[in-house]
Amino acid sequence: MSFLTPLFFAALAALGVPVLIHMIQRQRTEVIEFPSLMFVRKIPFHSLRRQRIRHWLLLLLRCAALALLIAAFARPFFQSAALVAATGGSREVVVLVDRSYSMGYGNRWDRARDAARGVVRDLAPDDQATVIFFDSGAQSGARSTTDRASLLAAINDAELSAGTTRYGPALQLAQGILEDSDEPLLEAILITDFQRVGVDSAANTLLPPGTVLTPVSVADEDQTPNISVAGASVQRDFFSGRERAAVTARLANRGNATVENLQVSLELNGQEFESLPVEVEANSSATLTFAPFTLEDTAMPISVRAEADALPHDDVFHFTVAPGDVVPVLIVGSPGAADANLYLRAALATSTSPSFTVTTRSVDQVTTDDVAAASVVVLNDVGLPGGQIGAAITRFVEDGGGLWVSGCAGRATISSCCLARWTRRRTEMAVAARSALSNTVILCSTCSMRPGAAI
Amino acid sequence: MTTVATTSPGARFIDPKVLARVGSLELAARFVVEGFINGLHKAPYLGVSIDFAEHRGYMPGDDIRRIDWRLFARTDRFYVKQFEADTNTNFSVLFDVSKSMSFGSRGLTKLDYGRFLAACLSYLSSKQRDRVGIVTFDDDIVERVPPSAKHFDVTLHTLDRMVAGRPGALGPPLFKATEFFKRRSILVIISDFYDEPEKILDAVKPLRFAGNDVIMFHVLDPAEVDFPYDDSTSFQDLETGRTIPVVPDKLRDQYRQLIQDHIEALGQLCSQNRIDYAFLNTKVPLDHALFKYLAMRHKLTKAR
Repeated sequence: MSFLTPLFFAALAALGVPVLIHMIQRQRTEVIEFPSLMFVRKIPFHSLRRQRIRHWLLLLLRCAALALLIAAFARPFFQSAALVAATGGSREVVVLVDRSYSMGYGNRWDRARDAARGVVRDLAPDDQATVIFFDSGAQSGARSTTDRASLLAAINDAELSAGTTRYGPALQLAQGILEDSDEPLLEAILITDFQRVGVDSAANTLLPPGTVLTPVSVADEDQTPNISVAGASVQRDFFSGRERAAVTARLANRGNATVENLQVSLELNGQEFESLPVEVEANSSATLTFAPFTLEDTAMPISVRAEADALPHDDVFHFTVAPGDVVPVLIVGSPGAADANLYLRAALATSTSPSFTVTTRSVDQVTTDDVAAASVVVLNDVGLPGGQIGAAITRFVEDGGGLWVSGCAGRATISSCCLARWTRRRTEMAVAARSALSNTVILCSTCSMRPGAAI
Repeated sequence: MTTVATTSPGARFIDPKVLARVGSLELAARFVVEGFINGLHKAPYLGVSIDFAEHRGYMPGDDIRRIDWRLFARTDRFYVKQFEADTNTNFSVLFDVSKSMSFGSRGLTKLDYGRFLAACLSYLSSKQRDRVGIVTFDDDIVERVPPSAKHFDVTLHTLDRMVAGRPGALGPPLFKATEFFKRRSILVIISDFYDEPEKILDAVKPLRFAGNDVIMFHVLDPAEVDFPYDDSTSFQDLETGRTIPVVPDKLRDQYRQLIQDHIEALGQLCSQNRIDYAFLNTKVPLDHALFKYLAMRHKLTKAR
């Protein structure tokens, strides 16, 4: 026989209470009024030792009642082998082992597997057993087998999952196995850390009558502090024409104690880039921003890693950062008016998603290569150039390039036939490709076409 | 049934049930008492009655109608027949109203029991034309009603008003009371007699020596006789206020023995001094106790 909560036996010290009561049983404080104590005073005084225990039977009964109460609180139970010895007959044993994410905390997983192995080793030769591993779902190896080696192998090979805890599927699976069994004794052993979230799912599960369900908790008795890297965000900017990214990591502390000087490192391509200390208060989160780094041409793997704690899986956060979309913009302005493009350039430079590389050319300097290299052409207060450049822009637009026309009606002249043709061309392309082509917008902010009207 | 035709507030102490039982008995003085009118009691003088007392020689001035002519015929001398005289007497209750008398374990206190007793005896005496009075005392005289044929109502008033509140003592007040009773009377002392028997008798004897017929009614509560307490606790003396821890289990037997010895000693000493002593337990109905006592007294009186 064992006890689930043997700590309650400390309360046996309370057995001293009835003994004390019996020894120092004080006389009642009420005073009886009597006409005359003349005769009482005549009787020789008898000293009565209060410390002497009287009413031994009453004392023993009181002590026994207290001891039984304490024993009940200690929750005695019989080991399964002892139970079999007491009851006789072979058993159908279902061992349910929790392998959810929370079981990775500390050595819970090892303890759970040790407990499962212990159950398998305690099986009598005739006992049939099934090991069920469950997280949000449940799966079992060989059902109702007497082969202990395969059961132990299944336990040894089992791995933790990233799933959440749900008892319902596992208990339903166990229910099916137990209902199908012909064994006289049915027993289910639930080895888990008893996460509260998993309980609701088991509400409607009913194990067959007579089933002995033995819960084995591998949860930690004391607090379970845990630091996790909850997420990371990337801020991009351009520096010296190169795109840079600064990573901000968010750390969460689920424990009841403040964590100080927690080293959090940023790894780029598997190499540590920077490591910073951080303080995270109890039951709160903190953010940490690392120094910006230059992005490479291809997507790079990045990890934010906190110092390992009891649950190492959530101490690292992996992600990748690809270089951002850079849209080449060609601004065609009036010759001799370089400052006219200043605000346009500044406005485009503020954008980071997407970001723009701006090439400024006056209308007499622009080349066909410039047009070909751009994704968007801005005609800033100039009309559509003629000649080769005009044809190149027309072709550029027809091939899906973006064109922004700004300026007054008198100077920015685009023939209506051009517009009509472009419009038809764009409609055809849209139908053909079902493509958004969102960067191909032609606007005239000042002419007959109102600003914001897209073609 | 005897009824009491009075509106006195103390009339409630005259219990018809008691009177119904004891009404046929007389509280006659066992000793010679002095009185003015013809009554039930033997007077120290010869007078007019049907009880022959003696002959004496004729002396000039005697009524010749009282000469016993038959004796003259035999002896040839004049003799006069004399008869016993019946008289009435003083009846006075000496009531102990010390604090201890207020004790009562069964609802009825010793004081109340004594009130009924005193009222019934007074009524009885009053009916037989005795003069009735009362003296209440604790450690001193509290109230005094001199015996008088008209004082029955006052006596009942006094019984109604009296309160047991102070510590008591027998010696000083009874010694003082001795002076009140110049005439030989019937004195009824109602008390719980918490003192040494010798001291009690020393207090009572002066009354007896003055020629009074003294009757001591020793009134005790059953709890005082049986000591029926179980739990160890503190007992407080009602009169002295002193508190002592008592384990009743341990001393009950000795206590009972002591109280019985006390009662016996009192009875014996009273008997030696020709004082009537009656022990009354308040658990016994008053009519029963009083009837028993008066019947016994009646028998003794006749025997004399």
